[in-house]
Amino acid sequence: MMKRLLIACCCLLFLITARAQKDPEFPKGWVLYLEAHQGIATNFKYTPDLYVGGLQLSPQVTVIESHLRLGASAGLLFTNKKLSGTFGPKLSYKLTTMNLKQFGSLLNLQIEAEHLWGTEKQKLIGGGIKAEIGQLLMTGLTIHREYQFNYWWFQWSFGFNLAHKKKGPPVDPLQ
Amino acid sequence: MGKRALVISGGGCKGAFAVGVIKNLAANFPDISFDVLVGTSTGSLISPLAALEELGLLEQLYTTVTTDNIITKGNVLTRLLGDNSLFDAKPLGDLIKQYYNDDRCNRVFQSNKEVFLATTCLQTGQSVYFSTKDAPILTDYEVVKLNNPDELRRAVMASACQPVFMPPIEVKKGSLPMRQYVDGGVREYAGIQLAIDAGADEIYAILLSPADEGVDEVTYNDAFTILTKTTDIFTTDVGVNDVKIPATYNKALRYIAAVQKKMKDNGVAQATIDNYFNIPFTNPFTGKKPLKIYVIRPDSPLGGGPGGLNFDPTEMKGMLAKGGKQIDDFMANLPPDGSPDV
Repeated sequence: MMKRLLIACCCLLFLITARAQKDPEFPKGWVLYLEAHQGIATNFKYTPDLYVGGLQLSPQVTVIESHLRLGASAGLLFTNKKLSGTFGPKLSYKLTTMNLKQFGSLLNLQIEAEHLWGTEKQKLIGGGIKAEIGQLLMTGLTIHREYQFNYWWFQWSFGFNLAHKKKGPPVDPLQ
Repeated sequence: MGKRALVISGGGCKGAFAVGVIKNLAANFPDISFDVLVGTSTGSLISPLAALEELGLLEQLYTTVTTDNIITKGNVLTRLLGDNSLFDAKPLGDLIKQYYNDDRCNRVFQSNKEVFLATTCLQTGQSVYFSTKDAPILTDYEVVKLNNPDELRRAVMASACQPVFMPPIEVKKGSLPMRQYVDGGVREYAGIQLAIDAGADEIYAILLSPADEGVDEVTYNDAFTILTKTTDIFTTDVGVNDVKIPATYNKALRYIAAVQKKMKDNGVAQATIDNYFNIPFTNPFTGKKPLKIYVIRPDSPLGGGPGGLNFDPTEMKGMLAKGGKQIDDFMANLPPDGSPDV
């Protein structure tokens, strides 16, 4: 059973990799998104809902070109009148690429999943759906379950890739 | 005796049609050989190999290469903000380095054929032809001698690089003033006039688009499709003039020859005729006899996507076959005296 599962996973990985070659989104290398996020935390019982907001830095590396990134998140969070830190792993999987006619890609839609531990004993698991535009900007919606204190966090985020490719000297295609 | 020239226009993957023409011409009319070869864009990828008669290699390249072997597409915004072209042309650079190795390039230089590669200089806006031999004296454009295999490779690459989509190339890298070159088709789609100025009086011009593109019965709804169509219209207009001007020039030569013959038939001495036509100003017709300009082109659009940048081996095999058939039909339908319509 395990052997079949392993073979199936290898085949899937091969197919993903083989399909990946022509898609320019999720290229090799690193991204470093600095995201501002805000929203509400609610347990659907007490009112008012709590405000949640913060900044998060997420370094990620592409592990399967055009498909999968792995990395971590670290940030500062303000909720319930307290400032706290968060940290945890993150993965992002590309759902689809939107192309600009035959000229190349424009943006991708991805889902992300993460687990965060907070300095105020928070424990969050969740993720969201995001649009990455021009491999430069990221925006999306996330849902997290805070299972230590039994809250749901609903947020919107907007980010900028600090590791975006900067304009350098022209590349000579004959070198 | 004048020279015989082969001129190949731009057209990306449609170069497969030209390869089909050249292949059947070599197979069925082996006496027809060329002293001058002029290439623009894909024509520049073909001309040096055609000069070496490497037809098998040409057929292999133009029936197996895919778009990924020519360009790599990226994220449009990333490329526009960070690079000098929309596409990465390193795959084409690798292909040129592989097939235009030093040995082949040196054989091109050593052959007795003159090869001209058409480019456009971004700094001056002028047509610049890079040549494997010492340049003839020309007036309307610059001709620059290539000195080594690296420069030949860079000139082939420059001629093939459509501006905006592919990067400009410094052919004489490191030289001052710095000059960047792109596809010669920006100014001249087919270098027929250059072939005439290089001394050819028999020209086989392979154009990779039909004379009549027909009507597109579509509604253009988005800016990018309109941009692509507009670029096609500009290119078509450049191509039309590239044939019209030499054709008009040739008609003038035929007219002059006809007038001279009529004078001679009416008893006017040759010396008197020569004196009448010896007008002291820069005369583009001095010493020129009527030319034979054969234009071989497809009857209908070949496809190949915008700019001919969709390299599909199956489609290119079809284009190659069409090229072979077109030249066979063309030669079969030539008048007995071999005089063309142009």
